[in-house]
Amino acid sequence: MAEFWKDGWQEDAFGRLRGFIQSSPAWYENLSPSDVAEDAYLLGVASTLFLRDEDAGAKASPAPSAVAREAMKLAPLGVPPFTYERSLVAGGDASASYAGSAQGRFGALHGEAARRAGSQDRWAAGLDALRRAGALRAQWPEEEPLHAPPVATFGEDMRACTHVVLRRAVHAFKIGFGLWGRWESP
Amino acid sequence: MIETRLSLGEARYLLQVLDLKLAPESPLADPLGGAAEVPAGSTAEAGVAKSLTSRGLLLSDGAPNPFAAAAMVWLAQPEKAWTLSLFGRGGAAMVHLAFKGGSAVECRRDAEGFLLRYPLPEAEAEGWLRLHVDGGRHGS
Repeated sequence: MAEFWKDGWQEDAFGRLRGFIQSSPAWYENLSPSDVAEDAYLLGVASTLFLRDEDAGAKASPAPSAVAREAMKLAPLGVPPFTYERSLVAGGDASASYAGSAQGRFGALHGEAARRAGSQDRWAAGLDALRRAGALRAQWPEEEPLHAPPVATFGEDMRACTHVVLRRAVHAFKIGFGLWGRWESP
Repeated sequence: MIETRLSLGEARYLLQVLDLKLAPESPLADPLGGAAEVPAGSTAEAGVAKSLTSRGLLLSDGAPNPFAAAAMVWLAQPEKAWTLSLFGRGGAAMVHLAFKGGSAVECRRDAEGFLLRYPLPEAEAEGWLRLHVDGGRHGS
């Protein structure tokens, strides 16, 4: 095969790289190329450890039923509904909620708010300002679960797929470029 | 319930306007304890006041919203406070719960400041804490 092989710039570059690797780091001076290759191999293996899916071969557990899924949900931090909106309308509900809060019937925090408001008008003005700012919520928002990573979106899947295809195409091109002009027909 | 954001500067300003001193157990003591006061009459004060007004935390006459004021009282001078750091592969969150008189205020820390949610009955807040501290149904 040697008679068909012509040295090119690739051999030259590879020789320079090998010389650099073998001479510059002090700890490599007394190591053989096979030691360096072994190190590189082990580093390569170690770098994939975090990428491996250990459960790839395991049997997938059956999907939980709707009832189980409902039970698995984190109980939201709920409060008994206190309809702030009713307090915005002048009349019975507003007076009743202000009076009830001032008497502490809707919890200590509402009591403190009523005490600080001092009058039903300021109480309603406070609620109205919060409503206009979009700060009033009908219920406690459900928490994002932290125990599972977010599912990839279609766009992310598509990008990853394109990335793999392009990387393999570039790899094939590099092999072709490396061999180009290096082989003569026997 | 009420859900609102507060930057560090805005929280500092509200404490200043309400003349509230931070108790040692306050969840705000760590981030705001050493923070300088917003100088009165400065452009910084005008900016903070404008931002607070746009979020309904200051009323149109410049007085603090009574609901925001009550929440700041809870956070600055709680009877007791819990801090929980939640970690998972989906991210992390630091949650403070300030208790007083049977009600609680939830305060989440992030890079921009605080996310406040209130009011919350103490029993429910403690149930939620127990769920997370003991592992609940999800494991840790």
